[in-house]
Amino acid sequence: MKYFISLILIMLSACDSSTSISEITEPTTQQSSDDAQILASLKFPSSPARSGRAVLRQAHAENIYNAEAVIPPQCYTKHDGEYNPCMTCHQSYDYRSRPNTMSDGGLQHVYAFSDLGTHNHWQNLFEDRRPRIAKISDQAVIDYIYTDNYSPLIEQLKSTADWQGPIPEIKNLHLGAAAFDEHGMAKDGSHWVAFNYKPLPSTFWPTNGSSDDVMIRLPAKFRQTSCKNKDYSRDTYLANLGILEAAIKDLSRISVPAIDENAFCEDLNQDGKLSVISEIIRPTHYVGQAGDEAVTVMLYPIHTEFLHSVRYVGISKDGDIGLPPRMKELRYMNKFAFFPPTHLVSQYGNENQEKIEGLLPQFINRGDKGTDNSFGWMLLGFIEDQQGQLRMQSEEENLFCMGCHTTIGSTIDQTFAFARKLDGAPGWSYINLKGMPDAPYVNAANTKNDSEGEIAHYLKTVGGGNEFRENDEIRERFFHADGSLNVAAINGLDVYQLITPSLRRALDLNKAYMTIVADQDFIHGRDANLQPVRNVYSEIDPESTPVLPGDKKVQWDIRLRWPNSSLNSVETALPLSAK
Amino acid sequence: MNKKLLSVSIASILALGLSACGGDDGDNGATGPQGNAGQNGAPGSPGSPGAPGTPGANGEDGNGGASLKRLASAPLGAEFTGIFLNSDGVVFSNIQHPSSSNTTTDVDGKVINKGTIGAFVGVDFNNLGNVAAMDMPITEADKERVLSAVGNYMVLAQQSDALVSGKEMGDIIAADGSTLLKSSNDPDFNAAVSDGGTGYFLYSNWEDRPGGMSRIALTSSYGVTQEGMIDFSSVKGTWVNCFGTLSPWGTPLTSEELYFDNTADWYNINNNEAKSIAEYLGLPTDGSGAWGNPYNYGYIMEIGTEGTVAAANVADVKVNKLELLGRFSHENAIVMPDLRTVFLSDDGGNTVFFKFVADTASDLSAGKLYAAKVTQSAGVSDPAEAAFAVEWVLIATGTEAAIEAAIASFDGTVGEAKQITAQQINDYAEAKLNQDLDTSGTIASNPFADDRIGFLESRKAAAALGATAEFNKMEGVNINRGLADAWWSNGAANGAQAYMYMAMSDTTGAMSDGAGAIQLDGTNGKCGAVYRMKLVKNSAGLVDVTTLAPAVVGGPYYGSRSTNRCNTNNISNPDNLIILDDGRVLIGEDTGNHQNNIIWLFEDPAL
Repeated sequence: MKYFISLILIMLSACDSSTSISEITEPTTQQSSDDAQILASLKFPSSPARSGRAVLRQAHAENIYNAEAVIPPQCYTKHDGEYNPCMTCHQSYDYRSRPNTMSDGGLQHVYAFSDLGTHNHWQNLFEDRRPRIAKISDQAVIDYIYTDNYSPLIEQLKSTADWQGPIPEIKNLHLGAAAFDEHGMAKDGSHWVAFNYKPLPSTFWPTNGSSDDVMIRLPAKFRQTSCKNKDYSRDTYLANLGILEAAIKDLSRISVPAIDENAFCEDLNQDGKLSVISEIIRPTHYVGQAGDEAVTVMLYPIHTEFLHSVRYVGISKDGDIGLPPRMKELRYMNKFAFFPPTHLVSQYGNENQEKIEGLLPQFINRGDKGTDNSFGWMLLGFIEDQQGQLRMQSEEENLFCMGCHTTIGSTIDQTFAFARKLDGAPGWSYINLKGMPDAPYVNAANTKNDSEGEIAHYLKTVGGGNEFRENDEIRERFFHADGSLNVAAINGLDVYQLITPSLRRALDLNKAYMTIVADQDFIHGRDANLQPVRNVYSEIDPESTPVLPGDKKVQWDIRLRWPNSSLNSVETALPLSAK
Repeated sequence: MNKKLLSVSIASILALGLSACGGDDGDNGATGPQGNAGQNGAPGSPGSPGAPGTPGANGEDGNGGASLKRLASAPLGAEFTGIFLNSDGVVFSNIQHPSSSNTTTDVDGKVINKGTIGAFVGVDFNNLGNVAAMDMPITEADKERVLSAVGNYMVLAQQSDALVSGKEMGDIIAADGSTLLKSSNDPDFNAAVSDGGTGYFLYSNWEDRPGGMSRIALTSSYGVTQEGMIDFSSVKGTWVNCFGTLSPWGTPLTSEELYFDNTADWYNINNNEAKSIAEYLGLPTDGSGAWGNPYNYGYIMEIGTEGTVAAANVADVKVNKLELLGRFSHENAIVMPDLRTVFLSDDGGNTVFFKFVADTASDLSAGKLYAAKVTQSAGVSDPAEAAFAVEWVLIATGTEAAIEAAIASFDGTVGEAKQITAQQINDYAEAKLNQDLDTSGTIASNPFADDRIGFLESRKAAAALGATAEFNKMEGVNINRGLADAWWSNGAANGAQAYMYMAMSDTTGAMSDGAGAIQLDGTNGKCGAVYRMKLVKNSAGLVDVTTLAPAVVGGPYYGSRSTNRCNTNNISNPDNLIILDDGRVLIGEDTGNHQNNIIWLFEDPAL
């Protein structure tokens, strides 16, 4: 418990800070002498600069470069018959044990692409960025990433008279933690809630080029009391967020910040009285004005929203890695339709049928509103223009989002981060990797006593530091010369220590991505590779490309077994309803 | 909107219609970029296209004069399915899997954001006359409704509508009659039958795994009673119910589209589709107990047998699988006016065109199954010109009772994985052909006392016996019953000719791989084609076809486009089709290569 209290203290101190990066004030890693040298050479602005405005909308392109942009670059990694980076996305679970019945675990073994997909269109992977990186000064990176390009975008959306889409505004979001209170609630009253989660392996590890944060917002009725009036009730909102967390992770009980049950007149901890509680037992329905909404395991209620900012790798004046003001991308999701598991199983079946028939993926793009993933979610993405101002993604750039957020087996209701939230009350706060334990992933075979961390497992299984099985710094830090994992070097490290880069690497990763922004060729890939990747195919020959042997399959789970988890027995089957 | 552009496109469409009259533009080549025909330019009004023609000469291959009019457009993300011509001239058509984020209301206030059963009302499709074609939808509002050149699209039922039975439209219920397995958003084949009075019962497929079928009651003015879903537990459930037709004796013939090319896949315990059958049957889905019998699925099924098609209570409707019509990926069956011959299309890759001939008229429980062996026009690879001669290879002879008994012998478990083996198929073919096909040194005998191999592994048996197993995405095959009956009853002579049409959604794959009997140029093959077959009377005095000729071919194909990869003034991935009483063909698309799927009105210059 002590650990969590210190986390909250850290959060509070961050809130008071006037520095622009969402930094962590209590350094826990020993900085190397290289890092100290770099830090001494840099000047940090006292407040962030602001970017200008972009040309918001992209012209409809008659032609598409890559109609299979739904297949991300990671899918072209060579497994060498041994390593398995595919497990993070492609999973099969017991038949109908989840609403996600994609059941694509077989794709861990084979490169099963359409004819078009056999060519790796992500040619940026093969670019040697080192000469261009060398021409960008370290200070230029600091100046660049300490620029707020989020607030100008929001202002622009508000002032665009014919804007049809959402305006995902959180005041001071560019400042990160400072925009949220002690329970992750946006201070501006927008009802967006930040939560602390373990980034998905491995694109979202800072050591691989990006930092990120994720916020969730539930519709108004989830924030309103029921038994007294219909007023806004923070306790009702926190209770419903807790219920949702238990549903998404399939937990029977979950801790919550102190909540007064009298706000919604439901005995959520089942102690026979209405009182201030710190834990809820998962009920069948949400509470407050949302009392008419049934709780469905692993599905969000209709009109749930997510906001995800993908940022450069931030460097604080103290040399900590965190989130800088500048965003690479701003990603928004809105669940416009709720499909129960009985509908989803049919829709996944259609998807499978279309794949059998060899059809190219089709998504309906609704302009300002985003792209319909055909499973009830609308996705809208903004990305930097050449001046670093956020603009709407083109249709093809948006297509890149649709593979991972539509038809892979590991996601829970097409999403990633929320299922990876630090369990319960301590997880209702802005993302903070420091002190976060490397919790193992949920697996029938691993018990609460099995302590192999997810990241340790990932590095070992993948044989490298990212999906491309590369990342020289991780290799140097955590692998033996013979390629095996250096378990001793990993033991006891927190998530921050495991997945954040040195300052040198952080600066170089940012520079690498800056060259992609300069080229504006996101359709060729968004990965901040410093040099040409070595372990990735440029062409897949379905006849000759080797398959991964069956015994290398990994039954992975996006969920984590945090300390004191109250996870249900793994894979409880969803009961089919009688009619 | 750019009025000038619109008027140009109208002119070009009308001009195309006119050029069809001459019927002698045949050497224009591929139907392709239809805009070219615009030079003819004559004002569109002078109606009655086709009248002046002496079109016969170019009939077989002269598609250059093809006349296509855009008749209706589907909302974004949806395909048209279940196109059916009712006796009152109303055409039914469903909207399968539209985008759920559609918010546009139609004239009746309906939003087509889920699987929808509907009809084009307010127009008699049997007295359509000249039609002014509609333009491509341009605005989002137009792209999200069903637009039509004639009549008005009326929504009759949508997924999850409450049913009188207490269930919901599109519910797939397990064999126990109560467990909801899934809800489908994929309505397909429609068939309307008389309710005995002035109204109709409309049967509609729900194309899912397992599949379903709904019945609604319609008054003569299309007032709707949402009745219920058909119970398939007597036949152990059904599977991916696709297109179909109404038999001459008034029963809907639904089709099980079996995408299990290899029966072994049925026993792959990682295959969710096979598990879904176990789930339907109430068997353990982990394979620890009994398992579904693969040979119970993949047939044409007759609905309303034993005189129950107009049963007052939907729960009393009886069904029967017609195993003798072969087991493959059925798109649909069409019974000929001789009441003995049935043509059958096979969807998927490397597929076969089948024919069944019953021993007795109106009785499909005994007879012979044949498969087509085709010969392509020599030296012609352009799909717009390449026609095929058709011969029929006998695959199997038998009775339904015997084959049903044979099927039961494959009941078992995953561990047993009972199935007909590749060796048995080879041996069956060796016995039939009296040839040593696998060069084993001996001619094998039929492993079974009956022809079950031909009926249960029809596609593989057909290939082994020398039929052409190279078709690709073979879809709807249909006739106009009135025209065909009239031709047949008048002596089946050339002249008042009746035609059968078949959609081929995509002519790539084995149709353009440069090998085998079919070798088409695949350049525009991803847009598909519609073939025409002249009905003839064969030496046995039965209805037959001996040719398969391109009637209209899609394209050009623009592979680098982000949308509308197939020319928008031409068909793309044709699927369902029906023939109107005047001989014109309605062609429904199931395509990702047109942003909005279209129903075309096709006036065949061969007519």
